[in-house]
Amino acid sequence: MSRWGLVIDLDRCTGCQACVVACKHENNLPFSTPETADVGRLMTWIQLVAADLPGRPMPSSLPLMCQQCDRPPCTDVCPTSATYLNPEGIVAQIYPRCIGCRYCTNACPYAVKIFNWTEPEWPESMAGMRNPDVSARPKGVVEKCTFCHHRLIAARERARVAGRELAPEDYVPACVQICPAEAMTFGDLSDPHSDVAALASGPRAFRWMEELGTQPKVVYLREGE
Amino acid sequence: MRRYVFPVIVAVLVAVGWVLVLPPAPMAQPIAFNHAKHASAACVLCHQGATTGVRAGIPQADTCTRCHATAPGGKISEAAWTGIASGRRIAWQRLTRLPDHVAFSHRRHTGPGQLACASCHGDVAQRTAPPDRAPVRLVMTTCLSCHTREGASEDCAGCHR
Repeated sequence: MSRWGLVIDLDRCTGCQACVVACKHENNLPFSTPETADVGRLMTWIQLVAADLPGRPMPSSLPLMCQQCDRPPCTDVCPTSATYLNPEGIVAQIYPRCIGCRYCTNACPYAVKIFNWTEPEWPESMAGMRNPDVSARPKGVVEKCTFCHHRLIAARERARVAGRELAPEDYVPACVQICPAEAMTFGDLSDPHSDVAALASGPRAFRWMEELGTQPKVVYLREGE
Repeated sequence: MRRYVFPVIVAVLVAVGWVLVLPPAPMAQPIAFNHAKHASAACVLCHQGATTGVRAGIPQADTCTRCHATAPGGKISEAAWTGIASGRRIAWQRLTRLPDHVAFSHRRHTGPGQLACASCHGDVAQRTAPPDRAPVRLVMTTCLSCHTREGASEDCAGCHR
């Protein structure tokens, strides 16, 4: 069974936010305004946050999305099992089952679970530009990064129809695909020969707020070493 | 207070029964298409994409005129055939609908899943007149019972998007 993980090299990340835009477009996230951001209702599954890292004089920009924890605090508090850790290590969110209680948004130490305060709306000029593989989440549910799980479903189907095994390049989330600095590496952490497994066990690797014991599968690489 | 309990329970049961038992409102199709007459052809001949795509297509006039050079004798009104012959869009009513949050691929189920169309669409291929509602009522338990029986994935995120 695969165990999907993401490695982000902070030495390569330029903070261009291409991943943020790609994620919004891939996952049908509606636009946010400065006003909605000011009141903490920014709709984005990835944010660049300023992080003070040891040995760095300036804060680093750190792309922060759902850390796909192996011990996710959010799933423990969900009263309807709308969010759970799936067999491949992705913390899934089942929107029709979510009652919008926001226990999970409070339990998540990374603050990356987003509550939908409004119905999703796009400008008329963007009609027909929605990704048909992803639903538009209604008002009143919590949503989050799923490592573009819909891409995994599609990739697995293509591989099965072609009568072959899923290859590492078949399944890549939108943020990884778009990153112009190639700062992101995605793959199967359970495969010892994968790039992602080698990087995640390297000397530069660290997990964000790993002292909490959430065991994230998003791994960062320290800068300047 | 107690005198309201029984009527409330009855009302709730009727409401639940209404939703679960009663079928959706019947739908009328613009052309009295006879599936049984066409059953010798594979479903995919008209419903293109049923084995190769996520969605199974609903045929339009060009699909009909590929085989029919003239109006099928006495089976279709002249006005309807004129519309088809001129390539006008046929306003078929879609009987089987999936909610936006369900990810379903025809290719996966008819290909690797080896499901026959009838597994989900019932006896529609034998109907001599267009059914006025989906022959099989598809709900999540319909999917899950098959997934359990066949050992397919029961991971919620595999179908909920």
